[in-house]
Amino acid sequence: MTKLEFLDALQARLASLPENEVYRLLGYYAEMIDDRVESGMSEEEAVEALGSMDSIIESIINDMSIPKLMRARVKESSHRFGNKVLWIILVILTFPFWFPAVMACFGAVFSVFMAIWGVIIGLFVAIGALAVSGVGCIIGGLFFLFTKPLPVALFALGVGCILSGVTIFMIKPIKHIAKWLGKGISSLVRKIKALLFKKRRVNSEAK
Amino acid sequence: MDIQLKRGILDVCVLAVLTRGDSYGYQIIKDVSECIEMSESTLYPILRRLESGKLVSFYSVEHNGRLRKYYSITELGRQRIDEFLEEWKELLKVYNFIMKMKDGGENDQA
Repeated sequence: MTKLEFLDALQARLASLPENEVYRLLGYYAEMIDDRVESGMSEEEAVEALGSMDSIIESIINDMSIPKLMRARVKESSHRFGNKVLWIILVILTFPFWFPAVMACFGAVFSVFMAIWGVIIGLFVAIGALAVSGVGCIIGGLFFLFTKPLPVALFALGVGCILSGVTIFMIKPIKHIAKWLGKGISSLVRKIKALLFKKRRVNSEAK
Repeated sequence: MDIQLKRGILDVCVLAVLTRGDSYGYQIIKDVSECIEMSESTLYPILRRLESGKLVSFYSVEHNGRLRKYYSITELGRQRIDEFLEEWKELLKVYNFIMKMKDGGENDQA
């Protein structure tokens, strides 16, 4: 690919980002290619050295915040509509329809995040409760040795030992699950970003 | 290396390169690559981040009939390097401690 072909392709892929953002990116990569050519590479080699287009795009979207990607999306759909005034009027008139939908989407995403956090917190509360009741039963059992019939005391001690054992047994798996869920949250964020971007790209190709 | 960790380190590597004088994208990549691998697509977000945090400033210079963007480190950028070094002094202490404990443990077993 030559420098111009590369820049054209990059611009096409980034069509939905804010103009000044695209302008800066194209300037940056043009300068990189020029500098490589100056240091003795051919144009094709210089483009090759930049890596795959996909990895370039990915590094760009991963660095943008979700609100920024959404703003770009809203801006783009207003561009596509041509008549600005009509578009604004339409947006205002249809407010009762789209506003609940947008809020519902936000709510859905938010509740998924909260649910994941809830599970993490719940797991730790559960293991905490197990630990407390295990220790409580053992202490109670020791106390019962002197105050209650022997079978009752032994029963309490036994239950206490089982609960403590289960607690110790569960600590490691729960830590692993919590870590895994935490990773799930960050990969979810990345997927949402990719989704926002991909949708916009398909739209801009369609017009 | 952990992505989050590498990100923070690369920021400071770029700043460090700029303490030796103003520089431009391709040269920064070459300089930083002496110690840690860095590609064009990694440098771009770093420069953006440093720029928006006012850790670097930039200006354009004409070079061979085109514009080249030069970056220079700001006072805030220098402060960031000092903070980084301070943080890592502490981390180094922890590193040495871990190594000491680990080696000690192995010797005990032997």
